[in-house]
Amino acid sequence: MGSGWSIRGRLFGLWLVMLIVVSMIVYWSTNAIVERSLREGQNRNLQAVAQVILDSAIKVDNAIEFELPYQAFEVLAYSAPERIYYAVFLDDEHLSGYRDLPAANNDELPAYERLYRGESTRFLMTSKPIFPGSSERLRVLIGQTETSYQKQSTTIAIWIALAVLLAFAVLALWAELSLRHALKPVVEIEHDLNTRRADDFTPIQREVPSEVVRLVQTLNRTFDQHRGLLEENRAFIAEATHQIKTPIAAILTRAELLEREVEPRSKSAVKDLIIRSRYASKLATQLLLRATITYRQLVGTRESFDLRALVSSILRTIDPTAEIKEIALVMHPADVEVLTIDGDRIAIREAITCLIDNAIEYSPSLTDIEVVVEQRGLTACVVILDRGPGFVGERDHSSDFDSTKTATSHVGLGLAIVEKVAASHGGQFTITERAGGGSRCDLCFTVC
Amino acid sequence: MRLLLVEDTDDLAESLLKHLRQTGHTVDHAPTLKIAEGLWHSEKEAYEVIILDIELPDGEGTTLLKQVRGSALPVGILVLTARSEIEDKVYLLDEGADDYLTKPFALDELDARLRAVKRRHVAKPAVTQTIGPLAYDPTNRTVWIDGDQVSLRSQELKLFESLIQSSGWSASKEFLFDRLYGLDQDASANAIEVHVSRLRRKLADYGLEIETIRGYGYQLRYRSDG
Repeated sequence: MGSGWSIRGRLFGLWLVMLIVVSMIVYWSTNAIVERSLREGQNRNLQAVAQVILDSAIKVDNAIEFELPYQAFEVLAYSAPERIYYAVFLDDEHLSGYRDLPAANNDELPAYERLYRGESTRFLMTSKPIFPGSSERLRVLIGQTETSYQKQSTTIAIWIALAVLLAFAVLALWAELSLRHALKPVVEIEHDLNTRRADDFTPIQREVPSEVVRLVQTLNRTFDQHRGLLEENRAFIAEATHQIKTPIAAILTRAELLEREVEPRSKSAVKDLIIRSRYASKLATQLLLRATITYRQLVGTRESFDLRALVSSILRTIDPTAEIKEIALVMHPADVEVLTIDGDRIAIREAITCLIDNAIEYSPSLTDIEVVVEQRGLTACVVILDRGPGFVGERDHSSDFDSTKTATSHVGLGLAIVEKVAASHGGQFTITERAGGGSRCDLCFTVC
Repeated sequence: MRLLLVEDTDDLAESLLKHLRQTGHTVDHAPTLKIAEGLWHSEKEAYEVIILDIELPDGEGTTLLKQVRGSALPVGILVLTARSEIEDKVYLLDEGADDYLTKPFALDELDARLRAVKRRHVAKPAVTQTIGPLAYDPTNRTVWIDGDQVSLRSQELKLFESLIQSSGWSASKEFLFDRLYGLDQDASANAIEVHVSRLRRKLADYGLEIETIRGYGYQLRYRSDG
């Protein structure tokens, strides 16, 4: 399952994209409005000056007289430290001012911009008939450099940008906080699920927003189903065990009694029956044990316990079985130092029991089985050394059934169970040949 | 040994009764919990070990287990269980069972576990034979030190008994072989050496030594400085 984007990431991403677009629109539109308003202000000032010149023009004896509005020029210069240019024309005849001021193109508005004498300059042309009804028109062209207007425009643009950025940051922070707040119930559910034990199938009782109610209901339903399945499985294993083992026990006990009573020539047939019954019983036990171990692995029961005490207890329990074959179980070292590990005590107990059972089964009578419990750095190991026939070659890991013992054609699940328990605890299980004959099994776990 | 066998499966119960009686035990049989409770309440002082099946038709064997443990009588309890539920075994031991035997089982294993359970519940003897710091109780065939029972396996105990009951605490190899294995049992030639070696290990802590008498057999000695 790919992780993909988180819901929070997606929502925050969408918020961010929208905020960027809105911020850009706000910036560009505000900037355009401010620039337009500055230009309109400049146009009105230029228009006012040109209008004063036009209004003061009179025709006296075929000559045109007008007054230059120096005060207005000063006002212009005072409001913005710019250079002012002017020119007055009667139709196309130049009357006063600068001769080389750039004229407007035909399709341009009365106000326009040109580069004049190396500076960006705004010009405005206005005209009126020399007197009402006259065909002659007096034209006034006023220009003003734009340096301060541009500076002012840039300053305003920067302030607008800063304001937009600040608004962007505040909104982004708000988006993050609101998302965090909105997703808090989901995060809390995730935390609940992550921290609960694997065998905890109790329903989630937390109060959740209406949007998450269905998700929680589905999870609770799944928990219910899992609990039901596991309990059903556990009950089935217990019942199957009883149903299978009790008749086998009756057969085996009868066969053992029969063996003592039959004539010597029939003994081998009865003995064979006993061996096969024991094998069937062992296999049934191991199949059910494997199912139990799998179940325990699924529910993940863990606790801290002393490995040495566990091994001592196993040896006490198993000793009567070893006594039948006159095999001694010797534990090293005999000290009582605690060696604590963390894991499923019962599964580990069964794994060690499997190994010792195996060693007893395959060891010759009157030999010793040594059981060493030792700490190797950060691992605690149980080593079982026997004088049995040993193992040949690598175990076939494609099958759970043991096939490496050389002394018998029987197979079992014991080694697969041990491997399973070791793997589920992050431990290690190895089988090697023992020097001088026999086998050596090392089962190691991490120390607490 | 006086035993109470609580087992509901007829075939199995019949075979077990036959075997236990053949091996010299006196056995009462209860096929249900109710009968078992009745027998226990009427004969509780007589039983040395109860062989108890857990799944009975009219209830759980643990009910009787709790009653027996509640009585504080020195009665051993060997539970027979077919359950593979490992927790159940641990639970049974916690509840006071001395040992459990998972069905199916070999009769030899039943015998060995019965002996082990019996050993646990033997009261401290009044009449004993002392060997160094050890006290031997010939009636119950147990060995004690400072009020605690010394754990000896069946063959080790036979070997120990054979030595201390012999004149001068010494015995020939042949004599010991006969005592341990009888005439009809097969055993390898080095069996006595193996058991002597194991018994030596267990007795060494108490200052007792088993010395080899070349060409004859073994002698038990106590070294007070040991």
